[in-house]
Amino acid sequence: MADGMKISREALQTALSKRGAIFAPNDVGRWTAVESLPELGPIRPRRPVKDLFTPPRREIARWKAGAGPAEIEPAKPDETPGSVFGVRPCDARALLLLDRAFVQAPYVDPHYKARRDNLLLIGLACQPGPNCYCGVFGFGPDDKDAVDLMLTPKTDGFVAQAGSTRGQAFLATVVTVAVPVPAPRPGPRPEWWTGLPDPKTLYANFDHPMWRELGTSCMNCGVCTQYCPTCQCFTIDDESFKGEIQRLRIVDNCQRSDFTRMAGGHNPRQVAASRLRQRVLHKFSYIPTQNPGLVGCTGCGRCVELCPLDRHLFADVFEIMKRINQEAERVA
Amino acid sequence: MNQSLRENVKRLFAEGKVKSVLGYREHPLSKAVVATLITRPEDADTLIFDYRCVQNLARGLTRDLPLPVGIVVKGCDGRAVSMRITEGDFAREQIVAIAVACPGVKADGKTFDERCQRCEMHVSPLADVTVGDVSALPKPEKTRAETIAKIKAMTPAERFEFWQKAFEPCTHCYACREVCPLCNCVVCVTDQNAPRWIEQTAKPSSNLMWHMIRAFHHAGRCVDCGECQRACPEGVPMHLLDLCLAEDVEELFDFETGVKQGGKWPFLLFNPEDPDSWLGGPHRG
Repeated sequence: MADGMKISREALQTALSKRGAIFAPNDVGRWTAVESLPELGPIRPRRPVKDLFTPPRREIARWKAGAGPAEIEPAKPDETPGSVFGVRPCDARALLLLDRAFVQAPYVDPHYKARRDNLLLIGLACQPGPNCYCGVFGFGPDDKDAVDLMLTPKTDGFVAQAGSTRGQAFLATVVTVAVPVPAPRPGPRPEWWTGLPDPKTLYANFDHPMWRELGTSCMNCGVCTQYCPTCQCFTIDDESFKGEIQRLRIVDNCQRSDFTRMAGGHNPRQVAASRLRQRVLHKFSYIPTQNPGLVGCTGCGRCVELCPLDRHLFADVFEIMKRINQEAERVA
Repeated sequence: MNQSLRENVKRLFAEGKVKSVLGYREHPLSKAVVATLITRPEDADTLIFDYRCVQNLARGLTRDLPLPVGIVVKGCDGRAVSMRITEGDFAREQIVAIAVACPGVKADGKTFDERCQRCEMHVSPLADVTVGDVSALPKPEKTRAETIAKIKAMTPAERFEFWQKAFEPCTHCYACREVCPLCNCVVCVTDQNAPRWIEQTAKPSSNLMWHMIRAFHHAGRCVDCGECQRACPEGVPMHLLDLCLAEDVEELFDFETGVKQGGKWPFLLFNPEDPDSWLGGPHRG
């Protein structure tokens, strides 16, 4: 796959339409079905692509209210074939993490799996913004490893590179011209960044007072988790309308005070600092410890951009690491 | 400004008037202005105040902080702290308000925020220490009435349609609640699930329900800091609703939130002589 393939917008559009529905971000950055391939901005959309695979609200089952045993009607996984246009490498890499939770685990989420199996991921190389840090995680704005096809926009179409055998097979069905591909671009990283923290060291400092200090600059609003491409926590809730009850799987987040509240009222994560610590440790300690080579963050920078308190996840993690290392040196 | 702020904080520590101080600092790496809690006088040198201090720190006041706690307050923040004392969240002597002369803040780094352009209170009404030149602060460029005139002019049907559309992007992330200095219920109504008052997913009925309840709970309590609006990742203009209610409360109850300490504040006021029949007043039929 050393060569790239020149492909026109029209040829791509035709081939994708033939395949089925096309999803793309709209002008407010939400993923919707589109008729034709939209012109997209230089950077990732506001919402991560996970919305198509593990949406904020999804029906699991429904039944009619009333006397007698309820006839439960489970929701069917959506198996319609289609494609997703305009996936950025950070969002695509995040799907690999979600796969770990929803496909590779002993419990497979049939809805998620059906979407993953049937939607072709068409990546689009981007121009990183000021809050983007994919370089920290060892890939760049035109990384093709997590998508089926990576497109680099040109004045008259795209240069496409297959990222998977599925992508290669799709490319074979489209009229293309072989062209040389430019060298992969490195991803941006903050100039002060020197490397990822050691997951075990981070966990060993679970009770460090710095968590409390960091906690004062966080109000647990949870916006960071809501827009994070790798956050995957959900809860189950029921809604009823005109005698019909729906059981829903809806998005939840670890920053909310009721996330860990038990029946009876006990809450192991009572204070803001403990919830902030959970978010940092989950991404930078638990996931890397359990899955060597993976980190729970892909550097999309949405949490940095949207934080109402202007907190910067990477800067916080860096400060924590620095402090732990300094203290370790002092002891040694 | 920064020098005077730091000296004042050090003095408060030295005189034993505070055990901790909530303020702003510039993050050494990201260069963003973030909230900070200092517990040692020498850390006062990290404190700053300038146009980038957009956040309202009153939300950060929690009872587990080392008390008494000093807090750097702008005009709107000071009103929020004052209201929290009025409502009994804190005793007056537990809080030391460090009021800064605030010409307004610039969330975009260029122009004053919309909330600051109509600000009539550039210095906190609650002030134990005042820092900066209070004589040279800007006059409001527009009024609250002008801000909400468009909504007031609508017919009820138009208004309903306006809000339905305005709430549409809401994802029920509740960031507006989490940053609000006066959203201090122990268990928020939307988190209660027995009964479930507000459905947890975004749709017209639950959007309306959440934003209406949120606004009602802020009648006579909102201090117009506009943090809800700023925090909203989807740009829902929910703060306009608070402004409409603030206007009504001032007119009907002659009460300006957080400006004076004590007194009867409308939200918790019960009067058996209330002219509204549904409160059990004389017109009950």
